[in-house]
Amino acid sequence: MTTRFATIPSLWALALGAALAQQTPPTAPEEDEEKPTPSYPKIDVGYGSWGLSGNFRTFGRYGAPPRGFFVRELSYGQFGLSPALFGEFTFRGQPFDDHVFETKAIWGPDASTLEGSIENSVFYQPSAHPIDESKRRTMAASYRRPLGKETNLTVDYSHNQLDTNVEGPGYGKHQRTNRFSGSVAGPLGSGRYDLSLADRRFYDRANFQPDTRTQTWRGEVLQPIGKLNLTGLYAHTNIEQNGRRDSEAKNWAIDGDLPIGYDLDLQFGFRTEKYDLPETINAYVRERHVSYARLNGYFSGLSTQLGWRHTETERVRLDQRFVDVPKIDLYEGRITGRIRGGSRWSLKGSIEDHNSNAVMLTSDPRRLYWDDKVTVQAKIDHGGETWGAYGAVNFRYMENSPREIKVRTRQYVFGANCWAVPGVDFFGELMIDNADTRFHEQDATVDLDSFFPSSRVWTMGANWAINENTMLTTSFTDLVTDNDNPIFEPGGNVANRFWTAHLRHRDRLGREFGLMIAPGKYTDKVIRQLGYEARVVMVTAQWKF
Amino acid sequence: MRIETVLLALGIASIVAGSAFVSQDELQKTSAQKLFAKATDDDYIGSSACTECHEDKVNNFVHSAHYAFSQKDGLALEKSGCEGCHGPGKFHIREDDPEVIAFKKMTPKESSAACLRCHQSTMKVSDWHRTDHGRGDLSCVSCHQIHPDSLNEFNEKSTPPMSIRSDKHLIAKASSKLLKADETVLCSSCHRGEAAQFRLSSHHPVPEGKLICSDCHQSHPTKKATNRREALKSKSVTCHTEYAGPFAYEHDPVAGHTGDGCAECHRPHGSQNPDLLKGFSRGMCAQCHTDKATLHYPGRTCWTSGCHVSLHGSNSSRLFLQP
Repeated sequence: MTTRFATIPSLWALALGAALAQQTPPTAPEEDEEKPTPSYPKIDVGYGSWGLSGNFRTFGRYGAPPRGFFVRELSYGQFGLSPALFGEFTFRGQPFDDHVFETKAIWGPDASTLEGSIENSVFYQPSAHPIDESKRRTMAASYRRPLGKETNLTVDYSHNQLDTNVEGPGYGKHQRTNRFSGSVAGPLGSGRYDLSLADRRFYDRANFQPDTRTQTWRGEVLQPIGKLNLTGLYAHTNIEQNGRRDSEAKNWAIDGDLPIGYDLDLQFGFRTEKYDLPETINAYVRERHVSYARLNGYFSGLSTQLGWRHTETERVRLDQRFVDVPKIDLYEGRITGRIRGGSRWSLKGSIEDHNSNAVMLTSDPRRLYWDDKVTVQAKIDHGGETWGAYGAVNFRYMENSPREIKVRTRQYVFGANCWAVPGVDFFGELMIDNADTRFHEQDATVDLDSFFPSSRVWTMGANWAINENTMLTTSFTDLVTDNDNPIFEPGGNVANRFWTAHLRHRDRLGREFGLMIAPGKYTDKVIRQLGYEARVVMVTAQWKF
Repeated sequence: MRIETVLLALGIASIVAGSAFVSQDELQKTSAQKLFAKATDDDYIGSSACTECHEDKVNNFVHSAHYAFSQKDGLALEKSGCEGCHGPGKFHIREDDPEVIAFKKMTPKESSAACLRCHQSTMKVSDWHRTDHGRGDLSCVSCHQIHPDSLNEFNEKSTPPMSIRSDKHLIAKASSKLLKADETVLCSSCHRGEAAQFRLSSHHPVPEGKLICSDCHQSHPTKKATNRREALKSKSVTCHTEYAGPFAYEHDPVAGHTGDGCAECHRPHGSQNPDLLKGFSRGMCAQCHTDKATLHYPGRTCWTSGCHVSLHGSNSSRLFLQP
């Protein structure tokens, strides 16, 4: 297997070696750190009411708007607390609900930086039955210090605490993740190096998953050789799990780019990943080798790209007695251009061809994976003085020939805005999603199409600068899902309509007052108890000193 | 030693040898490099001279994150004040053949190279060219604003465009002050399709302000040590750590055999199906496991039924059943 994998990079390297005949580029000037500007003390507070009837768990599934008194922003930044010191902090939210606290200090002639943040999020699983709230709490700290003109030391730490409560038969998560990472990066000859260590510790308090420690050492070197820029990377990961043998992952990569003339460049690379997972006892990928090449050209205002990527994997079979070597070839292209008058357009696509597929040892031995994938994306965008418009079409096709299944998905997005009236910007957008499938299972009693719903969402509104101190932003959004839903599952047939109006007034002293009214209705046509109706009202006041 | 190994060694040797005997052809310098290279100390006239014609720009620059740096004592002339970015003032004001580094008028390649004169320790020119944005012919100033054109957001021309962010969810992470606009607004001005997906009923909590685009996407290399690729599976396990594994029983699509990782089954920005899935209910599984599409416990969803609840990988069941 190794021989086959080695052929591709060998040929690449030979070809490139012959192509090289340029001088080393000039050494770049050194970089210095930037300092932020002083921010003024700012107090922004508000009062909010939900006016909610119906299911508050659906309403707060990703995070609810603040209710009662809340701090929209309390911030203060100060230069010169001592020589060459800058410090700032910001708080947003409510103490026992969603909030964000961020702080930053920069000091010394080398502008060392220490940042910290605490975030608290409260959310719910949509459910017709009472379920307690779920919480995610993240604490992070970061320290950066220059160790010379171009060398930097960075140390990051984060603690992530997730406690979810869900409806049965699922189970809630109670897990903690600590992550520490440190890196040193600096110049090396006319290139640079980057060395890092990342240590992640995962603890599952519910004991469904073993506690896991993942430690990754990583080294990366970028070196210009003539015109050719080569990057080499090696990473070694050790994974320890309680009561199990250690697992290991090794990554090697060589990436390069070679300018061929001023408007054309070649990018290429070769990557190898090796996994040693002694505790895994079913099918898994043991090795992966990826080679790619891409030509980028810029001609007559057009940006064009042509690329190819070849992937070979060593996949251990389900019974772990044999290894297969599935191969995937990906061909991709992109062209982007501009049209006179402020328009730009792009067309890109890819074809993925799967060969030598893995042997299936499942009860049905037909292959489980797609053997062809095609994607196409077209976009056009116009931005003028009085109007703008855009359109995007995404198409994706996937086929599994042994199982005679084809899936096509399409997405259309169209939008426009215009300044037809002075001071008023009208905007609107429509997105349509749909899919169709071809499915020829002999005993099929249900068409797979029933499980690929379509949806339509449109939004329209306006930004109205009433005068130089007052602005009104308003929008209405309507979402409808068209789903056969033959097994009457929740979350599949929904309608969501909401309107938002936000009026802001800023006086001559810079104080700002806001009023927001946001009525909305969410309907689940299958499980009515999941719906809600809300009439959110908020008032805010802001002072800058 | 295998012949391919020899070939690989020869290839690497030929690269090194090829570059050792490089020709003396001049590497094409960018226009910014050429301009600074030919300047003498006398060609720098100081930022105060710029005020005469560009008063608004100079005044607004005070509010830029670059301002404090550009005023630093002892800074080289070619990095100080307005001329640190736009080039020596004397070249600009001369009547015959005036020269200035005007970022909006340069090609993206030239413009990026001008910024990277100073930002080399974050990324080299070739690092930038390898990013999707670099390949998409964008430049630094496509997203970053060095000095705001207008500080009055109530101004007609600076009215905010339609945003992914919901106005109702005011408690949100702030984005970098160096960007032209709030990060979600800025990204959505080009990535329209992705932005629109956040309006669907199942989405990552970007409209609610819990995430911003750069929490998942790295638009270019930064100094942060946290933005490293995960060794196993895709980057999504940074937040969804419980799916990182390795598991005793791996599920091929999750383990990355098919190449798309999490995106094999999920639409990360938003979907009309619960749990960000590409297909609805058991149809999601049936597109691969066609033999189980209809007769295997029909009328139930594979995971909400309480059977295959460990689809991302299991340590106790080959069929990913309840642990």
